[in-house]
Amino acid sequence: MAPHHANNMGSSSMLNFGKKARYVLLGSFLTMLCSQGSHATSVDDVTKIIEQAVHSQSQARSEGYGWTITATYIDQAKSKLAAGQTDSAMATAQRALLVANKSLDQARAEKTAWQARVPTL
Amino acid sequence: MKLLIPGVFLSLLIATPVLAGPDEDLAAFKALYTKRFPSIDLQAHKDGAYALNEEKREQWLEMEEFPPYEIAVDEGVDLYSQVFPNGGSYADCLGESAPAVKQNYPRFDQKTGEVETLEQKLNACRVANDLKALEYAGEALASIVAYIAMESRGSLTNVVVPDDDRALAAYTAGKQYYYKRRGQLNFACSSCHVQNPGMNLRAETLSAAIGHTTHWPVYRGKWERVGLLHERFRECNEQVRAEPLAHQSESYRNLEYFLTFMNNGMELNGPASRK
Repeated sequence: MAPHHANNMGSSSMLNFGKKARYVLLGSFLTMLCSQGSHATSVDDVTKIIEQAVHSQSQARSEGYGWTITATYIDQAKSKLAAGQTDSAMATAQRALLVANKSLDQARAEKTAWQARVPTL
Repeated sequence: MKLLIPGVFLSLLIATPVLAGPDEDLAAFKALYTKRFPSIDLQAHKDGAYALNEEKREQWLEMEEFPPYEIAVDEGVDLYSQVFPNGGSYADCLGESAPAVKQNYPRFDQKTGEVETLEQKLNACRVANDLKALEYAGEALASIVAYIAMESRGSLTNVVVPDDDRALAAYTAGKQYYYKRRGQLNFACSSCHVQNPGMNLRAETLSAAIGHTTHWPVYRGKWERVGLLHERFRECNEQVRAEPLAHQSESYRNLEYFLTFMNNGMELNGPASRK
């Protein structure tokens, strides 16, 4: 009896495993679908990021802290967007925003940091 | 209360370099390079990196045997000597010691409340005589300044910060620009020329800041022509990936004012050649 019982236990657990596997596959499929939906980049999303980058860039420039790379990234992002390469445009726009914000951070930090570099007698 | 007094004292000590006036800054500047390069005479820094690297100095001296800026100086003589259609001339505008006036520029103009560079003075002279101003990035203006620099050789830099709050503000703005880090590479002018002179940046030896204004305008090999100081400021900005400012912008004029004041007492030896 014992082996037969063991066999029963085995086929039942195999059935359970098969069910679980189907749920996992279904879940993964649904997750993939959902994630594709949530990450689809729209022209508006990219435009918004470019606008934020331009805003930070102009703030940094007004303090004499413009970085050359910011303008390069902004121009590239606009060109890619115009060419319909939305995902690539988004990646470049995010880089533009990052460096624009870094240049602003530098402008803020240097308001006082320079003082420590002045030679003294 | 016990902690307050030492705290105030400490704050004053920290604030000293910021509050220091032009004369204190100059004394500290000279002391820095004297201490950093005890075997090099302070005046020798007028040759820039060639005061710090013997091999490069020899190459440079060979180049100076047939100076590449000579053509610009010759053109400058012609341009400077031309009498304006109304009978005026540059000499009329530059005063008694013209054309040997470079040691006095930049100067603080109490009428405008701003720093006036030699390039601006020359263009103001042209406009006052019904001529068009020359382009600040152009070769004609650089050639005239090259001639004036040649005639001013041997004079000692003598920039004045008058007892005027506006002059001190301009000087301080220039000082701040010099010590503030900028650009994606996060460099200040002082990062190279105050913190690291004598060290190598790739294949180049970094020069000391003292002596930086004595030899302009300069024929630079990479430019293949004579250019003005603000062109070098722009190039420095670009090298650290900061957006350069316009030629003769207020910030660059203030920077030139501070940097030239830090060279007071240094002998003028421009124009010069650099790689």
